[in-house]
Amino acid sequence: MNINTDNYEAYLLDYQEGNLNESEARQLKEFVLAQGLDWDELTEELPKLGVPNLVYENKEALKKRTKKVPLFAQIASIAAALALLFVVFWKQDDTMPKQELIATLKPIAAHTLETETYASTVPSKKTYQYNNQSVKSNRVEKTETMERENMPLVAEMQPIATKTLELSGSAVREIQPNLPLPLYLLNDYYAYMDYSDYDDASEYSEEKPSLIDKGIVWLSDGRYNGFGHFINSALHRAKQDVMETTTKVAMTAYYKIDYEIEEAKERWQEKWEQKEEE
Amino acid sequence: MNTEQYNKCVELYADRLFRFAKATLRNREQAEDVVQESFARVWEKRSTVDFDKAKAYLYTVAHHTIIDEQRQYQRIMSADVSDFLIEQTVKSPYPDVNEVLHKAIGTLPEMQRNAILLRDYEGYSYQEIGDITGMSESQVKINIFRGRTALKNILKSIDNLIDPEP
Repeated sequence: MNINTDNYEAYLLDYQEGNLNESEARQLKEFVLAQGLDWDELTEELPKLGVPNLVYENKEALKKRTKKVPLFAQIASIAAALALLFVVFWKQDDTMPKQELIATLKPIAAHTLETETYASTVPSKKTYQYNNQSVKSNRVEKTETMERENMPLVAEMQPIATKTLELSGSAVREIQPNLPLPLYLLNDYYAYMDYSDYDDASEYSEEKPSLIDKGIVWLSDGRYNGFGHFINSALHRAKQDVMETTTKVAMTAYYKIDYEIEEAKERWQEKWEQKEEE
Repeated sequence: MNTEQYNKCVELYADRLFRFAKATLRNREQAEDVVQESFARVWEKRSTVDFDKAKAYLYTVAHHTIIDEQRQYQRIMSADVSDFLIEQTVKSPYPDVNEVLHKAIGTLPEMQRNAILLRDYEGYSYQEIGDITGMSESQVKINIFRGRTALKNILKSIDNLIDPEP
């Protein structure tokens, strides 16, 4: 032990913490006294800080989405995509009660639709007529002939029963990367923003056109039909936690369409047959 | 380190890093910035930082970020001890010791302050504190001893101001 004026304080700390043996402690005391320092004062108990109960509240914002996708989410996504394709290509006729298709999804409290405002904020590719109004669309094809008597309200797209997926926060995040369809096609205006911090955003950017090429475009225009407004109004209401909200909303809506579509299809089919008989 | 491990780090260390940063900077927003910056750096370096080493890496980044912040806001950080003592005695005749210590630590030089916080909050060994702060083990001990002694003297001074001996 080589005690000197440069290091004696380190030994004093060791002494305080009981890390010196008897011989070392004696040497230290002799050194301190030889320097004319006050041994008693230097070896008084020193204060220690208690740990405060502080919490960092934005942990979720720090986390990253994992690429690992649970099997059930993959299955759900595929099923939902098929269901949505059914909606896209289901034969429509002006003589049929078009509201019936979504009538299985009964309205709840309606949100304010800001059609004009929103339409002006999204990148546009085409303009088509909707209820005698010009509406900008990202839709690639089959848009000009689109007609409905009434624009369905956002709220109409909400289901009868709430079957929110019971997902923990982490499960929701794990599913997120597997939701390019609703997030991009429903909501690609936000998707760019949402995925901007995703470590492999380029994968999604590359994936998006291929999905559109496959014809899964209904949701892209869905925003003008109300579905997208539903998502977007939800986003507006929850800007502070956009990703989580988007996922929950998208998953919920996704799941519900998938869930209700068979019933809607059967009912519509029956009515169609009745109409044919008449 | 993969994404799951990174997220686990957030769960495990975000609160603790925030406490450390808040205690050193005494400013919530700056402390939050330090936490964000530290995790952003870990995320950038995740391919080279093992999960086992992530905590030490986080604290190393945080330590350096805090020092930068401290130097940037030197005027705020270098609180005068006499002003502090007056403030404390005016504030309450029976101050909470731990609260006083947390405020008093702001009057210490940055190395003393950070070393004490790493020791008391995180229980780091002197060698680990040395690795994080770039000091030798002996320097860490000296800084901690001097810092604790200064804190002890502050407590004594407040005690004397409140209840002066006849």
